[in-house]
Amino acid sequence: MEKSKSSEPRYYWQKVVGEERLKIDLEKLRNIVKDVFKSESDNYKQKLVYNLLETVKNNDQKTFFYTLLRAINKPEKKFIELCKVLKEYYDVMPEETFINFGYSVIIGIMSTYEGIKSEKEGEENE
Amino acid sequence: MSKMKKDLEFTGNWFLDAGILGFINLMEEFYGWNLDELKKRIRKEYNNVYYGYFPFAYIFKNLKHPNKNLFEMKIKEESKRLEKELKELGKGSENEKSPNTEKIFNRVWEIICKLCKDIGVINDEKDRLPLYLSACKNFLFFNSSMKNEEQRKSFYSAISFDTKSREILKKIDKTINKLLPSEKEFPNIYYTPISTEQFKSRLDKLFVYLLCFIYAFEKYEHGPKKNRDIKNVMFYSNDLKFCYTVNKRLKSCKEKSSSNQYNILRKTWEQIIDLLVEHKSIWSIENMYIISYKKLDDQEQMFVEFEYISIPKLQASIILDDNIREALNHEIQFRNEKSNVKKFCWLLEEFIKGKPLYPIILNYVNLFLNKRDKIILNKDHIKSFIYSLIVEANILDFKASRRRNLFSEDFFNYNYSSLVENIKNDIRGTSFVTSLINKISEDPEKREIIARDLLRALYMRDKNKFLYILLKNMNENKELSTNKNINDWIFNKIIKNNLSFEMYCLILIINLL
Repeated sequence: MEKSKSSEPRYYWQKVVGEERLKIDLEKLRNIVKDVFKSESDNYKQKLVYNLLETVKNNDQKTFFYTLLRAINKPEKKFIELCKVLKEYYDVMPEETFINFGYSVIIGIMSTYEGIKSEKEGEENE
Repeated sequence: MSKMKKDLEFTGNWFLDAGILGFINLMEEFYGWNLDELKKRIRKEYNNVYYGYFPFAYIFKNLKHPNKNLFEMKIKEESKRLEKELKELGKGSENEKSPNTEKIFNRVWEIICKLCKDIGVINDEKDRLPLYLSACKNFLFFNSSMKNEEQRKSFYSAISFDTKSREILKKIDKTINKLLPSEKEFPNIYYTPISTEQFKSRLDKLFVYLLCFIYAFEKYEHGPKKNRDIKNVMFYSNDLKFCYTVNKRLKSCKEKSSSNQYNILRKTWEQIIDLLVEHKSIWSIENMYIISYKKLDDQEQMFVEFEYISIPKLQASIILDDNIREALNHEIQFRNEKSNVKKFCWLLEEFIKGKPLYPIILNYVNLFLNKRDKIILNKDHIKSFIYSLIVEANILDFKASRRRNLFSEDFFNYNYSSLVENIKNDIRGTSFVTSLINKISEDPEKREIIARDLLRALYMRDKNKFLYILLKNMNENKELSTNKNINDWIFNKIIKNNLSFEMYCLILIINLL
């Protein structure tokens, strides 16, 4: 998804990526998020999703990234991958872009629930 | 060359062709001749048809007198006797310029006047005939100031296209048809008056057809007596035989069904498509036009709500598919019953006109949720809505993905087959997936509440809120969230999609109810 030209006047600073326009590959983002969160506990993920949903609804990019980064602050390989992708995409986005970005992440997490079994494991982990 | 002139063929101009169709309808109504019979007669006894049979039928069709209805039988008998008379007169050369045509016409005029006197329409054979047609109130012999002799002469001039004796025949303007501009009102428009010189070589019975314009249309009524919705409709296509057959079938269909005649337009689409397949003329559906008007206002001297609807090739290719067409072939109410404006609309008609179906369906769902006016939502409705929304979404995507060229490869070579394929695949995928959304909650009341919230968000075109409500509720149900199908679907159709997500959102809502 391309950042629209009309968003440029709304910026007061812009990521410098040469002359190219920033493109966000939502599919790639979602897949990576899926991979990363597969092994987490369901309860944890549910709470995380609720929190993230609130922030996206309020277009609160600050808190969104705060919550997300807190969740992926682990020195494991997959998390590092995700951080790389996020670094590539991070920017102050116009609302439309942010909505799509945020929900892609959320739906990626939601698709990794494992059902009742992992709930018990999750409780132990917590 | 003269043979070509004598054959009855469409000109390709809808206005003139409506006149030709009207002429055919008139002759069929009076003498019972179908198209083939009429063509045969024109070939064999050209002058008789135009100078004999036609004036007789036309005059009796437009006589305005209370006695006319009482003497229908007598008029019918007389028309049969006409044949014998004309056979005798018709002997001789077929040359138009010979005085034979005037002889035929005068003889028939005598017969007409005598018959009128017999049935009491006029007191004396030399009296003016009370002719009246609201479409051409003051044209020549309709003019109330003309006496019998003048009427006869002017009618003859009109049929024989004699511009020398009648100045008015040199142009076509508002006097002969209320759709055209009048010279007095618009002297500054370059093409008024429309000169008839150009037609002389091609269509030498021009005025015969122009006079019959109004008979091409068929009246359809719909609704209760107080708020009757009337429409006069004509289906037009470039091919004479096809156009004639379609309109004839529609007429017979209308006569068979007694109540709710507007639904005829729905049912007859099937007939039309069947006809097309019979004639193997797929091209015709792209060249079909619906011409309709509400009524001809006498006082204002104009047609009310005259519409000329053509079927663009994109829409035509889509409705060629049986399933899609059947699904779109629904009439639904989209406004409150208390409103004064049109409440019902026919989805297929709106689609053909190129109007968006999404707002109509949105309103319908809203009416349903507010439990107004006994609106129901059964399987048929759901199917029809899903099809319409998907068609619309795909058209939007298609238009955006191609460069904005109307006459592209798709137009000429492929008949938009890729688009139709996409639509069909989409329908298959979506119907299954979205039915899963029901699992969002076991309680139907809760589902309704969710649907209401979603609908509100959709009304405000707020994708953020819509997704928030949807995913929040889905999050409670782990099984549903993990379901790959619905997960992918929401991602692809709503999150990733910036153009047509509203339609897919509405599909989800419909499936919740």
